[in-house]
Amino acid sequence: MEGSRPLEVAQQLRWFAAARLRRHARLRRHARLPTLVVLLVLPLLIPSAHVASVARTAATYGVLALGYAVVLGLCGQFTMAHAALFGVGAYAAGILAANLGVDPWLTLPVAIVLAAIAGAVLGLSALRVAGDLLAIVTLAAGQLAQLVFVGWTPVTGGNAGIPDVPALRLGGHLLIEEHELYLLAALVLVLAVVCLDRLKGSGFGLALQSIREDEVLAAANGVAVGGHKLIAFALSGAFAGAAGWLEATAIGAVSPTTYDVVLSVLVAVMVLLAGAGRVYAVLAGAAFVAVLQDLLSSLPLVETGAIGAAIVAVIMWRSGVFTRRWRPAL
Amino acid sequence: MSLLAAVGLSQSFGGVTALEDVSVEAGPGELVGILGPNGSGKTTLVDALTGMLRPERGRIELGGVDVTARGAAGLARLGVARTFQTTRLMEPLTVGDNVLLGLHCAAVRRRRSRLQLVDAMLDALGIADLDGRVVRELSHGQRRRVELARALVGSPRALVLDEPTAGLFGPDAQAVAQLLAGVAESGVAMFMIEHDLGVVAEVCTRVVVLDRGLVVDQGPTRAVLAGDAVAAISGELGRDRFEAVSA
Ligand SMILES: Nc1ncnc2c1ncn2[C@@H]1O[C@H](COP(=O)(O)OP(=O)(O)OP(=O)(O)O)[C@@H](O)[C@H]1O
Ligand SMILES: [Mg+2]
Repeated sequence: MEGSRPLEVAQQLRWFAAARLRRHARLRRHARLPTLVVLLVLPLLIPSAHVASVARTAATYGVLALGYAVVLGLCGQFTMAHAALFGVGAYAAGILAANLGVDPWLTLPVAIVLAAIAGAVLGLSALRVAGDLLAIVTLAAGQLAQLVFVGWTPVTGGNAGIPDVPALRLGGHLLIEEHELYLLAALVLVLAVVCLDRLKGSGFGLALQSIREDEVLAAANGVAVGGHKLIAFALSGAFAGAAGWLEATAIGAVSPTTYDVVLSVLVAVMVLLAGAGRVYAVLAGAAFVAVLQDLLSSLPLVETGAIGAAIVAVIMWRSGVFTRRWRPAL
Repeated sequence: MSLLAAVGLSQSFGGVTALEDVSVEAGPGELVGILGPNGSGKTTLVDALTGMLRPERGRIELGGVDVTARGAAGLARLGVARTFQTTRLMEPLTVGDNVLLGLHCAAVRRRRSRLQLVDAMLDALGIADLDGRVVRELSHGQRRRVELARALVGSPRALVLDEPTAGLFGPDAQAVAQLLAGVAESGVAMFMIEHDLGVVAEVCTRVVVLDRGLVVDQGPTRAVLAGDAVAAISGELGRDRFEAVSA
């Protein structure tokens, strides 16, 4: 241990009764990941393609929501364009694999990097505005992305999107069976969980939390507030990029309507339902939204209504109706 | 030789002159007390010294180098730590995590070493038992000590403290003041806003007296405390301190 002069002085003085109580045990945490893995195995045991497909969507949303938890839960930045970053990942995978013939596996790093860059660009807005204003600015940025997805027809396929993204191939085997696709999504999800857990426990994660709590305090401790915000946005973009890649390669198509504002709102709902900083609760929020979406898909009117209710819920959260209990906290 | 210095600072807010041509300095091992009635510009001076406020005129020097444009984070990275008049802490986080934040720019990179430093700092401040507690639940005096631990744990070269003993009573305030004197003696340049003339007399090596943004007296503790400037303002020192604490 390196020495600290104030510390030595303080130790010499020792004026308060110094009870050497040990740091609280951090055991609870270690039981969580195994539990998650067990839960993730369950859908594999159910011989229904439909269940596997919903579970895959839930896992993909989980990755997406974890990225959102970085930027909202850890860093406290209320952004509303997460579906656009998801879309950047999906389009990157789709365009490269379908139009340029790149191996779909190789499109994963590209999707991650491009979505991270898009995230950082989005994050530039957080250097200027904060709070609800940031939500509005990013909402507009998400619409802008939607315009590009729909309008840049030669590249994105316009309204029709990209209908023929080739499937992933493992040796000679095509990954098109729902259970296999789910397994892949679940693996990516576990990786994402491990990444986020590590991030949360790191000095960088602590710095992000200091920005969420009090930017003046963060700066007083030497945290480069702007730079950290940009990195948080880029990281959340990276998660979204991986999710978009999963979605495009699993469905075998990219369609612009998937990546619109409605999904951005739903992602916020997933995370806010959980309490933004809670990694495992966020996954439950993602699963909840995926299952609800599936149940309501045959009732378009109810689905629209539910989304409307979700938007109202987010606004109510922002206005502090739930603040006491639902504050992003760890 | 001065380590942290303000040279010719002027700052006004609207029509209010918060600082006017203020120059102060602290060398390694010096504990400079800042005295002044409410609204005399003490906090504004602290904000300028730590880069939180870019003064309208004048400059901040660290080790003789102009660091006025570095900003708060820049100065923190150069080894200037501070505490706040109203404690600023991460409310939903634990005491340990709050103190850990003070090591954000520390050279110690290994997590275990960092945690050891935090543990030892808490221990030294007599709040080891608070380690796992969430800050939100703490009393005012406990928060003061957590904030102090956060500022001290990174071994700063210079320390700027806005009323570190406010809200601490009797022996606690004495103990904190003694600790700070010891830290200063170990070679840290320190500024400390303090209302209690007894504490000032006991631990400060030099004193600056502010009134309505002007330095009305400055020099060795004994001389300044005996001087007319302090006599003129002593009735006003910390007048609404109790209100400030209970607010
Ligand atoms: N951000 C600001 N905007 C407007 N006026 C300000 C601002 N900060 C300080 N002032 C004014 O500048 C003057 C000096 O304030 P400052 O906080 O530095 O005083 P202080 O000596 O720390 O007082 P106290 O003992 O009450 O803490 C006061 O009149 C205050 O109202
Ligand atoms: Mg003040």
